[in-house]
Amino acid sequence: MIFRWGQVAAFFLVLSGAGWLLYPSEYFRGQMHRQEGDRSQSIEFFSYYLERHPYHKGATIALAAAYEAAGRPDEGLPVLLSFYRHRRGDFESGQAVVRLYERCAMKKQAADFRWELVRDLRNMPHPERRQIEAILYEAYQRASAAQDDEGTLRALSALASLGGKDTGYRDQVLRLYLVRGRFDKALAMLRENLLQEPKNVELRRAVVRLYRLRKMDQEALQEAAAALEALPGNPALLGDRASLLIDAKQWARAEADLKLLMARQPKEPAWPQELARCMLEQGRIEDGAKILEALIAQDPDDMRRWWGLVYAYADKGWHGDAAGVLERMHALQPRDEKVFDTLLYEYQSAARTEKAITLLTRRVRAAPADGRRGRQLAYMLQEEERFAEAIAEYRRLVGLDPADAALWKALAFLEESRGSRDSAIDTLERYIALFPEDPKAAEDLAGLLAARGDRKRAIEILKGLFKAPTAAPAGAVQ
Amino acid sequence: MRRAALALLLGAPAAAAPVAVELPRKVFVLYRGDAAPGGIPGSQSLSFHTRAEVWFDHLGLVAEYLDASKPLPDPAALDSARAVLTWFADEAAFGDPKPVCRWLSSAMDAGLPWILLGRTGLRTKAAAGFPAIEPDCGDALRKLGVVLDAPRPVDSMSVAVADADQAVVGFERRPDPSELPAVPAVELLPGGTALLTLAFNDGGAPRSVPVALTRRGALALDPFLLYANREVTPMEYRWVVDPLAFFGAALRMKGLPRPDATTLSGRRMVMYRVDGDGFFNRSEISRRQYSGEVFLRQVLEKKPDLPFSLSLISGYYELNLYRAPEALTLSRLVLNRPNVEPGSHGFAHPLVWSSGTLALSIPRYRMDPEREIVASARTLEERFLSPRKRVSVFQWTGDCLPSESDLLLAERAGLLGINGGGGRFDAEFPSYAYLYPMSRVAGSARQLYAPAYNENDFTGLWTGPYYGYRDAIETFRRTGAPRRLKPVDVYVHYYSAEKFAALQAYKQVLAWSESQPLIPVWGGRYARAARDFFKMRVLRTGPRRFMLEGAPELRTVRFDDEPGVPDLAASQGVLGFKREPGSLYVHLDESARREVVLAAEPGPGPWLEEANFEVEGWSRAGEGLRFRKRGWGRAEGTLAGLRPGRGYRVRCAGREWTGRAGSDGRISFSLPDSERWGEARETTVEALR
Repeated sequence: MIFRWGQVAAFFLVLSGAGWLLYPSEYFRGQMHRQEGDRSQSIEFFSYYLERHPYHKGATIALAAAYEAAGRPDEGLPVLLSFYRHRRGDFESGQAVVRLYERCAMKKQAADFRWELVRDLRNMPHPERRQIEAILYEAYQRASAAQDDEGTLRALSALASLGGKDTGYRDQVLRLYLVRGRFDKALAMLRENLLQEPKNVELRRAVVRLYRLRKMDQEALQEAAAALEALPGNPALLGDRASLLIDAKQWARAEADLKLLMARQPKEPAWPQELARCMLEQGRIEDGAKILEALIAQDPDDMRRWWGLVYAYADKGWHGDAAGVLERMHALQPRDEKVFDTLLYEYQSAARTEKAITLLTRRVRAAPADGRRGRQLAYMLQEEERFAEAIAEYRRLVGLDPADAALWKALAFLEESRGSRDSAIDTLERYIALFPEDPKAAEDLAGLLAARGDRKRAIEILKGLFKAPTAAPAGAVQ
Repeated sequence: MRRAALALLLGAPAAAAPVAVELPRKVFVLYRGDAAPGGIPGSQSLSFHTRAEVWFDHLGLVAEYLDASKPLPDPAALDSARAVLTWFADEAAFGDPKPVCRWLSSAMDAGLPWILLGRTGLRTKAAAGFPAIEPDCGDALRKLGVVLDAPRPVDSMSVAVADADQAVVGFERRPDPSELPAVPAVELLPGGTALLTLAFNDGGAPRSVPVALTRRGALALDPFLLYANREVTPMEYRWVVDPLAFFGAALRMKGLPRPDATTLSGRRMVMYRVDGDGFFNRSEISRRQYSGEVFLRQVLEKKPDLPFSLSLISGYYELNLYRAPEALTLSRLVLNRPNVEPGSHGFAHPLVWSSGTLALSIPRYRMDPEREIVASARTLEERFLSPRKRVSVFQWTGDCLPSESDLLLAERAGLLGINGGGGRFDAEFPSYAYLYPMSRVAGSARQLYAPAYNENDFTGLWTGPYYGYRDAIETFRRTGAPRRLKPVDVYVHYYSAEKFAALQAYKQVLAWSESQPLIPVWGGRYARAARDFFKMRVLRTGPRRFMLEGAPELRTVRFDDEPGVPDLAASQGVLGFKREPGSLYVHLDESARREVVLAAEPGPGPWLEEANFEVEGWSRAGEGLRFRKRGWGRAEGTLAGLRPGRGYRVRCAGREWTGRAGSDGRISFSLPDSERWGEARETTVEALR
């Protein structure tokens, strides 16, 4: 014999030991099942394995995967869920459940489970903020895309409560409340935040704005006052209160705030403008005007400042002063038609029509082809009973624009009223030559001719009037 | 009196022939070719193409793209132009927008409405501040009917929706003006209709109208056109405006016929297509079998009544691995089945057509379009097909972005090309905005897109979940009702038979399709109808009279919200009609010239309401009908306009059905034997004494 019995026995003993050590475990053997077909073998194996080794992670994942590979993912859900609930707070398995819900197109259940996962993660001894934020952020974006307000608010509130300096989520919650008209909720949220941040200017202003939005001006004023107690002299809050006081027509109180603001922000043009307005409203025209003049002096090229002063005077009936300002504006911007027109108007309002006429005359001389200004001038002269000049201007205008019927008629009327009958007849004849279809003009002409004694011509004109069917002149009412 | 009448008769001029006026069908979309998204030349990456063009298909219109970075053609000379449209992603899309603005002005002068979407695109970058609008562009906008200012910064307390037309705004998402930090500041000039009005209380202009029909077109500006959220994967889209209502109103489509390539004989088309990838993959269902064989045994042989358009990759057979007799026999078996329309899926399956990147590595071969497209089809014919069969379909491969010359090559070879595009519309992609249009233009050629995604896009690009294709059912549901935008395209690769879960999902989709009232067709049949969609000319020949010329393969036009029906006696080439919620589908014959005349009543019948077969040679025979039909499975049809209570017999190829017309004058018949395409069969419908 080559070997002794003892050596043979030792050999088999070692072999058995090695086999015992190396032989694959049941689980490992299960993993070696061929992945094919309907996975019934794998499913059966891992189901049985889990009965005897509950909550074995590898077997759980393998069983769920087998169900998915068999095209039965819904059956894998209870398996994963059961495992997760045994190991609450396990991020990896929790995410696996969420993803499986989504793959099974069970969006509502996925969304609900996310909240369960977040709650569990928060209850962990050392919660991982990033994990929680990632889940909540996704929940927020998906709910926001679907305009699921409840879901969005819930996610945003949870994100905001995670802490940190980023106020973006809180602002989004506020925005959502406001957009959906849930003002009471928005206000409650703002108040709650103010308790923690009483000196937060933006929060304070948001509350004031919210009251204004609801047209609760008294409450807004009270809020502004409380805000200024907490933050004395804050320009933004002062500006808000001043604006409220102006809306409430409390000019004196607004004036006090605006003076403070001007002292703090001397370059801001809005404050002197509003201050001037307050003074004007209280009847202190000169004081208000002084403020506006100072404002203009700071930036003479800003025409809005000039207009502010013009309106300040004009609204209070100080047309002469308004005209004075406009004269200065006109000197700066001679081509500005709005300035020109307003100046004319203010001259007339201030009973200084002769100045308006002088201004217009200068314009017409500089631009004789400007028919509009010529007409304005002619009319003004007529109103001022400077008839000769008016007639001269009308004559010039009809030469410039013979197609304007109104000019002819105005001229003829004026000539007649000044006793220049022959001129009026001549004007009407020339008019009718251009506008033969105007029966009224023909009648007027006939009347003038008859008055002059030229009855034959008058009758001819009237006969001509009754012969053809008269077409109404353009614009006449049928 | 009689003399006067006679004189009148003799002297009367001949009745004037109706003047036919062609209804323009094209909408010209401006884009910047030198700044194409993703560096991909052409229009296929544009937002308009990927999100909105599907609605223009539904309206029966054709989008054509004009590269605004090059000189634009004279708008007055544009053929069949209905409108011009811009949808730029930036406020200042051009270095110098003036030429584009002047072109838009002249387009409007030529009578074309301008539809302005998204961002203006026509501002000029300024050294400081927001890009401004130059005078020429301001003039163009005023001509359109709007004045635009710089966007208004807003917050939730300074802006609110003052008014919104509920029929147009809030389609998939309510407008939310404070969602972004600024909103468009738009003044609508007289002559326009506001569809969405914003109110401000911040002391500036009190109103803005970012969505409106204007005096010379329409506008819908961001963020009130299409919501997009890029913070999540996949990106979320939702339409804020109802595209159909908005574009329909802007383009004045009311009462006009819409060529429709989704429907045949009154039923929605369904096709079953397979790309050649994975044919020789070993299936996990049975390791001894190729996926192609699993597909043959478990699908093709079990569904002899369904038409399948199957393609193969001819380059496989250049590789030793697939030259075994069993592989060749299998290929022959699959392609020669009577219910299979053979197609080609390339030679080496180009993955990227522009660069020639290939999927199959075939020794000493570099990408050659002629070999990929034409020769691959001929190879399959010569090696595998019986003499009666031909390869008539080419299913584009890889990125499905062939060039103009590739497309023309296929066309000249008589191959119907299809693939690319697609889309989903389900819980994961809950918007119409994920649907591609019917086609893509490359130069002078047109590529037909697949109507839906294949299983790749449902399975994480084939990384799992492999059962994902079952979600295609939801897409098919949502694209069929309430608006039928697409036919049903059950479209997979052979590798779906490689995985058990994938095959189960595919079978689920098949079963769903068989349970629906659809009409099965080969992919090539749909492709011919879709191709003719772009060729059809629509002419108005009188009030509520329309001539449809060309396009004999397109057998349906649709009228939306139409109270009338076709007057069958006055119409020509009209077989019948079917009313669906909101739509009237009119079935046309196979001629190239039909006329649809609408009236309050159809007049005496009978007419075809719907069928699962295609009809040719339709004619009335006394109280009955005579026609030829061809289809799949058990023939089913509904005829209307019959005499209530009267008995009728339907006869075809020795089989017959008898029954009585209901009180509504309808019979719904079915014939006992199964059709499997073959020759068209003579069918008669006769009234029984």
